[in-house]
Amino acid sequence: MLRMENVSKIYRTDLVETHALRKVDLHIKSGEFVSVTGPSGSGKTTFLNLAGALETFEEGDYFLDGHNVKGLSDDKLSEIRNQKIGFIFQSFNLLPDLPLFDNVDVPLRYRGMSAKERKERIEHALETVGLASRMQHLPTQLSGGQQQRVAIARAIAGDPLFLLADEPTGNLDSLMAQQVMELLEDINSKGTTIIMVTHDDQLARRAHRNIQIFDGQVSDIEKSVADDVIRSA
Amino acid sequence: MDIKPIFLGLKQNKFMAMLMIIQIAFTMGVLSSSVLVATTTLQEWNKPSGIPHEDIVRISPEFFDDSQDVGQAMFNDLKRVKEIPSVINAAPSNAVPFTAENMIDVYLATEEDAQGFKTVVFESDEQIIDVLKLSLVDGRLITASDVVKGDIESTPQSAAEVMISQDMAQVLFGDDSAIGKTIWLAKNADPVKVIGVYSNFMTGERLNGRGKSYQSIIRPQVKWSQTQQPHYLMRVEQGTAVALLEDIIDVFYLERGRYINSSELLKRTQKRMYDGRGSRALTFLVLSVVLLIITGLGITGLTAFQVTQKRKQIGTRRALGAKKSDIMRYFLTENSILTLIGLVIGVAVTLSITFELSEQAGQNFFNLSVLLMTALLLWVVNILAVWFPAKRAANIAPAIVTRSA
Ligand SMILES: Nc1ncnc2c1ncn2[C@@H]1O[C@H](COP(=O)(O)OP(=O)(O)O)[C@@H](O)[C@H]1O
Ligand SMILES: [Mg+2]
Repeated sequence: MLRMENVSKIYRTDLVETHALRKVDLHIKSGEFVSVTGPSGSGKTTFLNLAGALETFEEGDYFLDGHNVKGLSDDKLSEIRNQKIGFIFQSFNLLPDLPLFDNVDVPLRYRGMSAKERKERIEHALETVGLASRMQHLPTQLSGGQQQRVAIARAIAGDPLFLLADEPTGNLDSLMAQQVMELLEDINSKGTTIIMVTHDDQLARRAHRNIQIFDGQVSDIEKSVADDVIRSA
Repeated sequence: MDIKPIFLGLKQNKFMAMLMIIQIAFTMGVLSSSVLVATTTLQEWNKPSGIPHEDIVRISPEFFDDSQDVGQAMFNDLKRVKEIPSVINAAPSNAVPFTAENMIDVYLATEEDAQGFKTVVFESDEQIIDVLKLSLVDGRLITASDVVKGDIESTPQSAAEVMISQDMAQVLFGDDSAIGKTIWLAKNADPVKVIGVYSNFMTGERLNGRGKSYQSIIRPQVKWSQTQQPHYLMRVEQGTAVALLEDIIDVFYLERGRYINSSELLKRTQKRMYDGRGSRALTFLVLSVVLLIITGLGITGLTAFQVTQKRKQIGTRRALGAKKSDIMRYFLTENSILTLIGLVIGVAVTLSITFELSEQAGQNFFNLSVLLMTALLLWVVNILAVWFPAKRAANIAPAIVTRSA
């Protein structure tokens, strides 16, 4: 479903070239829950940006659903993000001026769905995260954990190919983090693929599979092995 | 893209929205009022003067010798002037076309609430009709025996018969003949009778500004005092006006106790009038352009500020699937909504300003197409003003959502 072949990403400034990702080969299958870990500056965010079509790359190929993403126009990449990927960010990134209902509505509107279908999807998504009763509240009226649940509702409302989560519990206390993690596991158990970047080994271990990035290079470890690695670390 | 999210956004940013609306409304009000006044002024530009002003000269004498018989000296002057070969005719007059300032109200009745009609009274002798080359439209011309002449102090009586201009007749009596009708040049004044109607000529800016350029009255009387004398108006052979000003010096040296305060070709008097008018219109238009630029820059600044404040939100929208064009459209639509509200308020302001101005000036400044053009212009300026910050917003990289805290 998601396949990277030989993907490299180099950031060039006047003074330095940073090889943020080096020849990454990766395959993630439908329904998986994958965690991505690695030290700070190792390339996790870069990987997430490429996987989420937020940034472009010059080397290698990236197939999403069988289609190569490389070299597509900005508009096409917007469409892919809109239709195939659900984003969950560390700082939630809800739009502060919009009530919850309209926050979840944002990606659906760009998709050009009918008002009726959007309404059904929004209500269903907010029910899934347990916030259907607060649709007309503004984000600032919610706790951090609730805000992240709204972000999750926004990510799943469009039935994307996969969810891309960037430190989804990084800004939450442990109880709320626990709830959000359980919600993600619940969503995954119903068939949605999830890729989660985190530096929290506890959380990483709960995924089916852990991908580690060191200095821009990926080592892909199956769950059984991953557990060993993390335990011995 | 629908406008609901934009309205929700505005609801949370009421102060900013109000600021934009007020700015647009204010600009629209001032801009369209100025443009309306300026265009109305300029529309009056090439109205005919009704007289051969290229061939008419004004001389204004001033008597300083108290022992001088002013009347005698004046008639001597006029007699000698008429003897100059290039001079066709000359007449004394208290007022001069293009600069007549002594606007009064004329009445058809003497009741307390009788309506007044704006006019300027030219006091002169029977030659004035020929000097200004006016033609007789109705009734008869004034004759030498109609003219009341004398020193102001020793001549309390005034001429009881007058001629009025064609427009004056139209305003006072409509399609009825004006001949034989009675009018009052002030509410408590003696009545005067209309004996003739002459062709229109332009009096000056005070009536031009009211759209009543041609309303005038000629009263056959010449009065003077030691401190106050009529001007001399003279019509000359075509093309000799400039040369006359040279020749006339010799003639005027012949009379003692009097000097020439000023002299002017009426062609130049007319130009002075138009210059003043042009600079007034120009001042309005320049102020409008300056205001328009300030407003444009203000809108650009406010929008740019908004964009900077909302970088993360815009990046989030991009990450969630907004195309660059969607971001552009968001800002342009938001601005259009505010512009529309501002314009509606601005038009209301304009209507009240122009209504007030029209009342004061007695002239209609309102013009729908000018108003719509101004609104359109302001709209275009707004779109230009928002375009560049919106473009910057559209270029915010979606990766900003993961790269900044
Ligand atoms: N926009 C950029 N320009 C230049 N260098 C960058 C940019 N983004 C990231 N980098 C560099 O790429 C490397 C990987 O960064 P990143 O993917 O953010 O790591 P992580 O998320 O694992 O901390 C780092 O050395 C970082 O400094
Ligand atoms: Mg990072």
